[in-house]
Amino acid sequence: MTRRPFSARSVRGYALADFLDWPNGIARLGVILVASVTLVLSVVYLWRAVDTLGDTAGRNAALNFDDREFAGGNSLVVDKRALYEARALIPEDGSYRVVPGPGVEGATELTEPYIDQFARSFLMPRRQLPDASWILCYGCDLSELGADVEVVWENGAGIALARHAG
Amino acid sequence: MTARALVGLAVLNTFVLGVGVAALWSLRGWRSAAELARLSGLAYMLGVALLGVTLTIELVLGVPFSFATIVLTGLGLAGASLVLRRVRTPTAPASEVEGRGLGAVGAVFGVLVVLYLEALFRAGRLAGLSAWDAWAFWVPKAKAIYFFGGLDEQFFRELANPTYPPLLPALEASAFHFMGSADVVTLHLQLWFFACGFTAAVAGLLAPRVPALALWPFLLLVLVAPRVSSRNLDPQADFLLDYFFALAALLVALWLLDRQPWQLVAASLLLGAAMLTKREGLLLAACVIAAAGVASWRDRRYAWPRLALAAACGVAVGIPWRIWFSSRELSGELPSAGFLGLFDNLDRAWPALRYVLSIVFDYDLWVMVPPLAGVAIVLALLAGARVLPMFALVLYALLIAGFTWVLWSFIEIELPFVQDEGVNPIVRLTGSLVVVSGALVPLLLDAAWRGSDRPPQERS
Amino acid sequence: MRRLAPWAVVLALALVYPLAVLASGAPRFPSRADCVRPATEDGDIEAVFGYFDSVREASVLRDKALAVGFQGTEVQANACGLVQVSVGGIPTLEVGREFAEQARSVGFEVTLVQAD
Repeated sequence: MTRRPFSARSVRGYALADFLDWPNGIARLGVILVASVTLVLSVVYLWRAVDTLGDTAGRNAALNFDDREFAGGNSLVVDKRALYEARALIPEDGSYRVVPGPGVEGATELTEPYIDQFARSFLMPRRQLPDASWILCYGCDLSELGADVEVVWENGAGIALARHAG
Repeated sequence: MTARALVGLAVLNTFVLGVGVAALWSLRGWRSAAELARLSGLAYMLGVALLGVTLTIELVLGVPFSFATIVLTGLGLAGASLVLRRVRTPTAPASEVEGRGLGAVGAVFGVLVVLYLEALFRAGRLAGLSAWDAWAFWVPKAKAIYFFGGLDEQFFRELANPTYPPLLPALEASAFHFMGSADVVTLHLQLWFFACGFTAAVAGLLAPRVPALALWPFLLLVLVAPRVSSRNLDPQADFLLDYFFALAALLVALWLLDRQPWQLVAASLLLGAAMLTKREGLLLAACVIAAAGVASWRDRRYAWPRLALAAACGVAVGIPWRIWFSSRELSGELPSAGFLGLFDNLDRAWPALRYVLSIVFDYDLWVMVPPLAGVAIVLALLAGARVLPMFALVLYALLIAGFTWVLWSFIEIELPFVQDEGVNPIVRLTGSLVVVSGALVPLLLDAAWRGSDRPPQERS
Repeated sequence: MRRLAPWAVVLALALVYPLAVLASGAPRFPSRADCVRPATEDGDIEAVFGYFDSVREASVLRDKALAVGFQGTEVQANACGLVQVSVGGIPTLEVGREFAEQARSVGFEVTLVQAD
């Protein structure tokens, strides 16, 4: 039997008995089955994907500017203004350190362990250094930071931006 | 988020395409504008790989990373490609049979693929940076390269997974330069360009040799599989790795059939890029080379030295990065049980394999892509094809063994393993198996139909 | 020509989705200015002298405002991360308009916004 390329027209060119030949006919029958299943699934799932992507696009467009900018950080950042204040106050070539602690109202279980990671990315190009003069206190005990520390901004719920006076 | 950022990204990706076109001209050439258009997806992905690898090596060498560096590097690569084409005997364009045009099936599914990519673009344009790994270290690395003009040791040391290679961060930092700011929202569209490039590359390589009915529906099914569709714009390295790997595997498969040297050279570049994209790239590359070795057993005298050379070149491009992080005593590259520690934990082998199989065949993640790939291999073998189905069979088997090894050897992972699919490493790894299916299954179905995996013009 | 026909069909149909999306309005490009909500009702109103990217730039304007007697002028980040120079606590639109007029008379362009 002449082998024709796989297409709807060539399938019609074969007699039913051709598809029962062992092994090539059975293989071709299998190809038709696989292609049919694929065709149906691809169209069904395309429909779903486009629908889901449309919903995602709508949700993304409806986000507030800050919600979009914080995105993954929304799961751990308690007061976005603190990081915005830090971005505004700490010079781009400056440095800071994050002192997390348990004293943040409304903190999630991710806040204390990961706020420094998020701040590192959000506040770039400002660097995190252990001896930085700027301090982002996220639930820390301000009195433990030293006597020369001046609070520049605080939200009254456990988050503060402070600076060593020296 | 601005129109300027969108234009900047478009300019960058056109530039990358230009670099890739020059590389393709050097490697292979083309006979007509239509052939170049057909291979433009491959050219783009070669451009991504070439620019990504070179920028990574430059970063390691301490070359300051700036807009000028990116432009000069791209121009240098394009220039070197053109010079290479002139000084060596040009590779004759492959004697591939050009297709019969797009055809009705190709047109219908072409529209559907474009529709999907348009919807994907719309979803990605204003997406926030939500994926954990993306905001925790992939994008911060890119921002560090952008802001500090290089591999800032302090940042790389502090961030999670400091030994993950910087190819994607380098490309993302390039995107920031072209966008004019570290716009992590519009950055999602850089991943959209990668997805488009991969799709066009597979379609362009296979269109002249595989019937549209075997090619387009399966490629579309892979693209719209729920996990692929929902994660392929996350600005992290998983899908770029999968694209490099899948294209390399496809080119190696075609080389096994056609023996066109350019195919193996391009595959070697893509494997090198895969190894510089994520550490798993080494595992995936090893699977491709080993599978090709088994499939070419009969021609081993010819094939194996060439495969070994391709693998060596791929590995070589990753050496500078390994030296960089080793010399700084950054760690985290090897499994916690070590390579031989596996045998102290034999009880983990079966649960690990069982879990991997449950993920590979998870309908909700991948629809029926892996089972259909398995059926396609069986059908191709049944019809008498040997090289291609053997390559695919060994590749899939090695991939599953490799994923099992990952779960088995990282003993800090408790078994049975339960983790959200968003961050689950086995789900991420399995993406490579699914994406490569989009490239290999159309070839397998064609081989099963024709009863041979040789190109049509060789049989008469 | 027949070879090009399917490509023409693909191109034409590919335009359907973006045209359908654009029919519901032009694409929006969010910016930090999204957080600036002009005051339209009495209540917590702020008179804003200007918006800046950094505190350093903003401080210059704040110092000028303080120098001509606008007590209570301060620098703060708004909800979208812009640094604004403003006087808060204005109770009604009428008071706000008077304030703006006064500021204009000494060379400041003041806008009234609803506080976050």
